[in-house]
Amino acid sequence: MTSATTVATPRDDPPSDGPLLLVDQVAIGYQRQGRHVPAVEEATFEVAYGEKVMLLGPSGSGKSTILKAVGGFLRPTSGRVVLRGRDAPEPGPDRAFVFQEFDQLFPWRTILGNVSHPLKVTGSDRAGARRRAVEFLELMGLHDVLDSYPHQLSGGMKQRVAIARALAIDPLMLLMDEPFGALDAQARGRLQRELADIVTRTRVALLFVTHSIDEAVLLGDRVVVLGGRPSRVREIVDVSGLDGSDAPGFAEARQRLRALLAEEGEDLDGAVFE
Amino acid sequence: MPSSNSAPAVARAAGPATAGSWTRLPAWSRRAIILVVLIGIWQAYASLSGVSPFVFAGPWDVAVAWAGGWADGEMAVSTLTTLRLLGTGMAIGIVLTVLLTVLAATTTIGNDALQLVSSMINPLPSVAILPLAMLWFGLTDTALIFVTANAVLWPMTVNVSMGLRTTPATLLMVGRNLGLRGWRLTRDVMMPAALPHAISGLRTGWAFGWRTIIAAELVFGTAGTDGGLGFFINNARYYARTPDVFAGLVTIALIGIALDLVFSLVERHTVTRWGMKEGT
Repeated sequence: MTSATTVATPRDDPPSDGPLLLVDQVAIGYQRQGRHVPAVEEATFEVAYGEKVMLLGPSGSGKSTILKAVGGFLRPTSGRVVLRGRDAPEPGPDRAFVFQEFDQLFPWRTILGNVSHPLKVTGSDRAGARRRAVEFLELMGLHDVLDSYPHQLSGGMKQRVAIARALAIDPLMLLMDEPFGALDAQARGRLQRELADIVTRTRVALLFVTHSIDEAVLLGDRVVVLGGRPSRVREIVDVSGLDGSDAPGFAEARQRLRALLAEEGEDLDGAVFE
Repeated sequence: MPSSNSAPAVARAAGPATAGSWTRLPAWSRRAIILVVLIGIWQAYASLSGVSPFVFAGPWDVAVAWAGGWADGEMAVSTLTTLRLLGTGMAIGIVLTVLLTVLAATTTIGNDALQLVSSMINPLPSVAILPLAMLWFGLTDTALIFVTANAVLWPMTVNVSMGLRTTPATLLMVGRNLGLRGWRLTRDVMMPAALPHAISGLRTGWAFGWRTIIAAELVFGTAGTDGGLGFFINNARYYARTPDVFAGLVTIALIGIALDLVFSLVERHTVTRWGMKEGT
């Protein structure tokens, strides 16, 4: 028996066989004006328990599409999404989604309400939900705004609330769709470091969509590079342990990812490094 | 860019130049001054023009009639009768609105049916179905309630179903991500998200209902012993009590203003406070 002594949110020991998430030869298309438009041609990768996997690719490479399929919001046209050995999962709180849009908070609930309501939905009693919500909001440095409404907060603070809400429901995975994409560089850098820290502490698995090479190297254990139209997995690059730009191997990993994206014709001075 | 900087400055300078110190007064005092001037003109016309008191009453006579009407209870009974009928009609209308719009938001056939029916009934002036209501229900309160409920129902369903349908996709995904489905998703996400539309629907709905109930009472007369405000006005005309006709109109207008204030208050404590107030 392993006991998770350093884990902030203890969870069941993972079943020994198989990964947490298997994305197996998944193809996804959209119906547009009666025509089938393929978005993802073939994606295969795994996410282990507690692993941080980044989906990196240029705009239109189907990163968000794959994330939505993992979240259960889209059905793959073919292939399988397998979560803990179960096929085709419905949307559920075991995979907590954090979106890029600031309007992902419920405007009619206070900050505290936004975090405690999901806990009540997933079975906590009122007092327990409140206690846990306060705990996670404090963890994200939001103890001053518990009774504020979302529209009174800056974009960065709203994203912090969304992260606190996602972590509080104790998910197996965080699914993050460019959550810092609409933030200024300073707020983004600070939230990236905090997220890296908190994800390591809680041992929650992370599937994170980004088009920033630096973000991918900083936050990820592995980077799934997508490219082509419709897109495929180009390569899976190991970037574990590279949690700072001064770490040995950081420059090489960044160079490798840069070369892969350059093959996709991505404008490296523009979208990739902002 | 010099042009974009100077544009607002010009607009601001144009305001005081035309309006003088008037715009610097607080809004309530501007309104109060206009009101006093209007009442003054009204009184002057009644006193100086030599118009017959059988067709026109000045503000003083109206005020006396209005106070007298409340003092002897006749106005109070009429007002309460109208408000009771309106309240009942609106309550029925709101319940039906919730049922119909939730059905329309959750099923395609419900949506199609609601679209069709509301587009057919909405252009019909709601008082036009009063004769039909009298055929079905006779000269009873039920006929008036039926007409009022019908009047409030359609503007409300149009607004509320629009609100439910335009719930932001991200919020719906957040709700489904928590495992909310069906009714829980509707109640916890879609209904609060539709609240700004629901309140403006309620505003439009009550205004329709208010016009309809007064018009219906004018046509209808009285069901039992107590008539409503529409009956009060028509009755006063019949007995040539012109100041009472005016006093009834004043009461109708005051109730309209009061209810509008209530809606503004509700709005300020909900959607405005939550930053959900629409630009429209």
